Amino acid sequence: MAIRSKHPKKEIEEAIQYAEQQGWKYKSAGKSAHTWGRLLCPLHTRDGHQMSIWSTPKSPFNHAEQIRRLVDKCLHSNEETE
Amino acid sequence: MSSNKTFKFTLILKNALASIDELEDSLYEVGCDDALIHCRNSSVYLEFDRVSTSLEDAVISAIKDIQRASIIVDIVGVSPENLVTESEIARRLNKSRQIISLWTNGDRRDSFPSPIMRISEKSPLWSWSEVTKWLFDKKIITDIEIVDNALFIANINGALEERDKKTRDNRHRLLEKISFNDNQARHV
Repeated sequence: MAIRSKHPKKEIEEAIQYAEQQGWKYKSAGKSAHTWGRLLCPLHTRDGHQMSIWSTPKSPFNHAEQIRRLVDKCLHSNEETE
Repeated sequence: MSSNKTFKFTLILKNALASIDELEDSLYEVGCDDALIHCRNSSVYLEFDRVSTSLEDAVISAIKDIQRASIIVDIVGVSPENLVTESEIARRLNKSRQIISLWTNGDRRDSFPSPIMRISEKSPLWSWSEVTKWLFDKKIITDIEIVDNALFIANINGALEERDKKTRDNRHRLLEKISFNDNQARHV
């Protein structure tokens, strides 16, 4: 598993940790210049979700909320680890 | 005077031919840094929190941004969608499923709109724009913006579908076929 750096924005780092607690895994941003990294949902197949996290979104607060909302909506997130 | 508010909506993209790296960078560069990009199978979704004066302006500006991007993608839809189940109506109104059932069955209040799809099935679908119009007429909601936004979402999705030439031609051919001609009196 890839080792990730901390996200520079505190609220986004907290949202990423929230996703990780639900079983999401970090994946590197590849060649993208504006993406901090990507998260993969616990279902590691084509049917699973992947989200891209900006390094510098327009609003860090809203971006953190968007991450949490998607984690909560994903049927594959681990609920038992909460 | 209208002031700025944050509007939440999702744009659904198909046929994103570029790689995910290119897609992210080109969307960032046209100002979609207020959206979270996520994908599943071959569909890409953009979850927007866009500051604007109205939902219509927010959605139109997001569509225009994507069209300015260096990558080519098809914008196929905007959600929250217009077709809703009873439980989705309950969720959107933050009311219990029981209350919605009382309305849809006509046990409490009258003239709730009829479902428009899956009518004979277990969970029929209603048009959210018809439902919100009814809610407003019954004074259950007082914000006309909710009614306007529901109608806008229904229409923008129709417009996005009609952008496809084949779909448009086909629809217009059918429309021609079913239209009333001058000699045929229309009974209203």
